[in-house]
Amino acid sequence: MDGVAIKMNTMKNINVLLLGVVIFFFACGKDEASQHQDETPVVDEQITENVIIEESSDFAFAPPSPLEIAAFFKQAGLVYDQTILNPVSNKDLYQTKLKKSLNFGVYAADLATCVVNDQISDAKGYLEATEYLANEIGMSNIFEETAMTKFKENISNTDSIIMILTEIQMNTIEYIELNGKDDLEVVYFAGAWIEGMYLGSLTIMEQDSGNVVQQLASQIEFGNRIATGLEVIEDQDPEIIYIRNGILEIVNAYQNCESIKNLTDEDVDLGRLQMTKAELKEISELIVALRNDMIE
Amino acid sequence: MGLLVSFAPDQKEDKKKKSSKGGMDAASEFKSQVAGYRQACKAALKPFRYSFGRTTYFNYKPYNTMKEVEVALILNSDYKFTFNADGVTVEPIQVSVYNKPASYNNRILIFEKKSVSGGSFEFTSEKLLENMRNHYKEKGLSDYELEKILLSKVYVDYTIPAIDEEFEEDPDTGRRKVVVKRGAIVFASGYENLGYK
Repeated sequence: MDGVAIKMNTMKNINVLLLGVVIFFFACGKDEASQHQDETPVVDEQITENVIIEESSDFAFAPPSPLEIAAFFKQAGLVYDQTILNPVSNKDLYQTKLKKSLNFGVYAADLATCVVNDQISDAKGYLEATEYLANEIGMSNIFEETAMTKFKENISNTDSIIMILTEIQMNTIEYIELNGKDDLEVVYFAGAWIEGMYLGSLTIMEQDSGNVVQQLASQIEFGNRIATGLEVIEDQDPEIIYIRNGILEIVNAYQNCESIKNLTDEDVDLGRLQMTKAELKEISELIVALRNDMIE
Repeated sequence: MGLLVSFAPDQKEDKKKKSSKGGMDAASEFKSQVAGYRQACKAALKPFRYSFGRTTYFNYKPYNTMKEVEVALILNSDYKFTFNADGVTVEPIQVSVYNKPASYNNRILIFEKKSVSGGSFEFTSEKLLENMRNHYKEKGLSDYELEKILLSKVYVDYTIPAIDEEFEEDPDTGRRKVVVKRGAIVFASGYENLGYK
């Protein structure tokens, strides 16, 4: 499908001028905190006709940011290793909008992983890859022209780099919300979700951490939401179906684990969730396989 | 995802298709206003660091409706949740937060705010955890077990009340059509940055 821009036919009445409403946060000469407070949306005031606003779906989701997920896995003991990330050079492999959108999410997760591990030199490559794919899928507005310059200027200050990534995350969500890009959103989240699960799986392999199992379990259940989102994309390209089925396979494998089937709601609330090594291995292998297919 | 609704140009008294604000129509103007609410909502996260934002657009119907947002949290992180309801102008809505989705019969109500219309409000994940603990405390759980309670996801439910439908004549077709009355509520979440140091 060359079209994550599914529903474009229905959304085309939205005046393209609204695309210009994306807000830029990297204004020079302002401190980071005050930037947040002072920003007001800049709206192109040309006349728009027949504007359509889509009512939100009855069920929506709000995932954690890639930065939070990466920080969690770092705290849980995942040792940084650039070779486990999706190589930056792969960005040129992605020819369809679906692949570009998925791997935009993957690179966002990898970029966050580099940053929280203070691997700023590697992060620069991932920022460039993310920006490249954002441009390819029509989201160039989420990057200010000086984003890379600011990144280089703050290369020794991880906190400032995190601020830059947070701004990009905000701009991405703002872009999606302003333009009703639900389909793009779900594909982007699918990419970030799978990469996050993949990194979580590696953490489990390396560290026998109950906390990671709890987090991973929570994230796996979130896969249902993403699968539902992928299902309602109008253009059911075979690749979307493949990704969706892969996610459902992971969710089903998790739900069919003996350790999970016998859990009560109270057990989950009280952190009594435990999985056997064999169960974790089975699920991890599914995650790694889907992720590796996705980045090819 | 979601119902596609063409905006009726007027929501209240103003029956003109174009507003006075730079010639924008009502829908454009509403979107612009909501973008401003989002900024306010994000600013209210301070001193927490932005995690995610979600705007929920809804249309009032002649029957009660509900929209749900599933919010995934990182375990053991502290969150602040902010809401801006300036886009809720027709009838107040109700905001309820549960530990499970609406499809569960035995979910636990961990936050509730009725008559939400205009303005903003906020709460933290610690408050939600406290309410979860209180729930289980009443069930006789020990302090040791209460300390183990996890909140990996919360479900924000917006209950939109029924309204009386109004109709108007479509100037193009001459047919009677429902006047769409809409609203929007903005939600943002932020995490405690120091938790990651």
